[in-house]
Amino acid sequence: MTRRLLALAVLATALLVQLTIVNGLALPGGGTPDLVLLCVIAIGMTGGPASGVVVGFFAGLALDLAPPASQIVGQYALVFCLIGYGSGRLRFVLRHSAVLAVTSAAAMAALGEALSAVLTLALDTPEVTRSTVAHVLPSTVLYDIALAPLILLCWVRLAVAFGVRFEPRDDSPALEPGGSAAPATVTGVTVVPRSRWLVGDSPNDVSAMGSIGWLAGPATSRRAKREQAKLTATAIGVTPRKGAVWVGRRPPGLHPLSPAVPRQARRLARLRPGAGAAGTAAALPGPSYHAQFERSVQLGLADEQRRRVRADSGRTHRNGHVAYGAGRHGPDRHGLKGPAVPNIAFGAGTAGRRHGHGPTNLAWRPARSGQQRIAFGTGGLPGEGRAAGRPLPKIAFAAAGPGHAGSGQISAGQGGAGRGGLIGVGGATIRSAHGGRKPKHPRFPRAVPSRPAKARRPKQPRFPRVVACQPAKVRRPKRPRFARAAARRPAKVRQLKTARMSKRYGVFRVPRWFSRPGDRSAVWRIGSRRMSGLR
Amino acid sequence: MRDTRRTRTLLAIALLAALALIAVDYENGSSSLISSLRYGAGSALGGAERAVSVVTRPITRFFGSGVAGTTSNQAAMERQLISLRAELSAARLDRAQYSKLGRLLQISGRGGYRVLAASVIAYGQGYQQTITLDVGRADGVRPQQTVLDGDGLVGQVTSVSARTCTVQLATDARSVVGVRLAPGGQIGWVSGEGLHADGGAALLKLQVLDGAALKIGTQLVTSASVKNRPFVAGVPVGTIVSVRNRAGALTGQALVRPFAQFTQLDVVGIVVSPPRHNPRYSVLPPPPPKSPSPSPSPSGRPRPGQRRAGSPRPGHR
Repeated sequence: MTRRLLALAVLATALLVQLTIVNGLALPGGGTPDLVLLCVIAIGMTGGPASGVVVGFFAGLALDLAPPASQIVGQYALVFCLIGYGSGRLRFVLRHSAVLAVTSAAAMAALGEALSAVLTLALDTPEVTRSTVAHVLPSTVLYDIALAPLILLCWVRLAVAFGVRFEPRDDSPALEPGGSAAPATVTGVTVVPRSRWLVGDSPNDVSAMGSIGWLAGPATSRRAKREQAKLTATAIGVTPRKGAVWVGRRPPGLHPLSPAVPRQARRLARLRPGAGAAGTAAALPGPSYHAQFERSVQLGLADEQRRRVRADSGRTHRNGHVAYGAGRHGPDRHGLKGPAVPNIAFGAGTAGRRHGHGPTNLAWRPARSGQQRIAFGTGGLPGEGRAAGRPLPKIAFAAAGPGHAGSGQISAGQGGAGRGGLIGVGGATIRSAHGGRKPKHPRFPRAVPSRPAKARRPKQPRFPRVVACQPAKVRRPKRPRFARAAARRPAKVRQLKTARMSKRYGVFRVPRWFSRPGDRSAVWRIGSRRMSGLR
Repeated sequence: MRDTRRTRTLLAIALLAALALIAVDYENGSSSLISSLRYGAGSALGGAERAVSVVTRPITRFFGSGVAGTTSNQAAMERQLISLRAELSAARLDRAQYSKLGRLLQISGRGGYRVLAASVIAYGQGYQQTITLDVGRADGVRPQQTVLDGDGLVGQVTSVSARTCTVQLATDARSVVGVRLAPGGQIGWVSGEGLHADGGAALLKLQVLDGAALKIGTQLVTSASVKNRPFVAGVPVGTIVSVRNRAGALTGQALVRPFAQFTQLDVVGIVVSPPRHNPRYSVLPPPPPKSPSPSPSPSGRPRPGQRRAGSPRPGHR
């Protein structure tokens, strides 16, 4: 309510000042700044599209009808409601950076002036000719651009001074019903707090110190965020937490003064599933937010995986599989239970035996342990199910041979073999994983696993050009075979859950700075380390 | 508030409403809906403008007069100086206004017009060449009355609300004024050219049937309209500054520099009753001294009534 009254007062003031003072000034260039348009932009950029539309329409109508007006009624209403809507859609830039916000406001002002000039020309009013527009429009746009930051800043400061709240949660799609950060209800209690932006009158709702200094922009780097958090924590007398990285808008060091119910499974909670929304993770009143989840999910990132491989390198896998990761997906590793967790086998020891029979197929055979395996690229057992009748995918992960599981080198390249393609796994070697232990001589004779280049070259290698230790020389396939096989599939492509995400990476993708925050899931943002840039 | 279906519905409603208003007004400029809307807004916002202009008029005038900055070092002296200067500038403003009013009265006295003095309280937005005055229907103002100031023709009243009225300036491209050339009496018409980039130096476009009569320096007065509406006869309009005669053209064309300064309008008069006799050329200022240059400089613009009015100093208009 305060905001509406304030907006009304500001608009009325702007209208009267515009008509009584500004329009009477004979400024160089012939144009005059349009204060009402700038106020509409400022209110729209802080209030969102709906308030932008309403404010723009009524401000434009007032400008159309206020006494000296003689033009066709509705022109300014049309232009201003469009501009209000557009600047409401640009609301997110207020959090990105001050420069971006100011630029957007100036751009919207220029667009508004151009639109109104075009509309006046299109309505064929006799007092406006093209030469008049060409004379007056540039200076008008310049004055508007010059005044846009001032008006925007003044409006934000004024609103803050009058205690207007700008709700940050409102424009995140993650908060839609069913969104990733929709208000979760634990035994009937809504746990997403109402957080505030720019204003905080209770420690629970305090925003970061320094982010109140709006024109300085939000802190972007992690260090800046930590500094900000420390400052805030010092100011309001709470202890900063160490090491946490904040996903939402709440500064990383803040505990709420009244801590929530002690959380369970804190140890593994690297990623907070509820943290996609601003401030949802720390200030969770009521029953513990984490109590909803029986077990915290730990994402194995690259470091973690490498550590595991290093840890496992002592064991030698002599079962003839390269098996990167095979046997490590046990219940103790990923916190997943049940014996039926499939292993993923890259290639198998049979590769060597079969190499003479044409393009090496992905070797599949039932594991001795009775565990299932998933062969890459088939989607099922070869020769079964929907794969029946289809030629087996020609994928070979050129294993160095059985007995080298621990020291296995995943190496591949476009098939030299002349017939079948080999799918490159990147030609990486994981030799470092086994602690310098020398590998046995490969059963697979022609591949030279350990010696790089100038060792005896095979004349007619059966797996030609597969030189495991020389990833640089491996030519990458232009188009992997299984991709072609996938393209042949007539069935309709299943709509992914991540369609919203993937469509942003097509030809007509939206620029990254333009996308609204919260469009992607928090998990994705953490995985690709974009979390600090976006919010 | 996010961009939801509701928001888009709101946008669609607003767009449709604006388009409907435009369509109604475009199709019929004097429809009852639009005119009642205008009248209501004129009453409400015009009152607000009147109230605001009481505060802002000194400010706008202050910009024109320009007060020098303070130079004293001592604070007390400075304060005293400021207050003295403020008094002085207020006195100056009053005197400027007084002299304007005096010239207005003189011009009206010479022409035999009965003039209602008014102040400008608001200016048109964007490309419009309109102003709002602080007198309205209650003061006897009706649409289509001539508006002039101490220098010459300003425009005509187009719409009147209770306490304010809107004046279309002569520089507006929609305004057409019938004129008469000073010595010969040839008839022509003057139309505005709209807003110009060189703000202030707005010129009018004159078209006369007899192109041979056009000479630089010729002065124009209004010729009487039917029943003296919208223009009474004999109001000075301007001076021809350049002639654009084209061979084969039906009319001779010229550019006219208006007497009135349209960017510094302050006190204007509305002719509420026309003169009994046509004043013909008696209101015109004395013709400027013969200047051989075809493009006169703006500073050399003749000020009608200045010498006869005995205005105190040339700097104070």
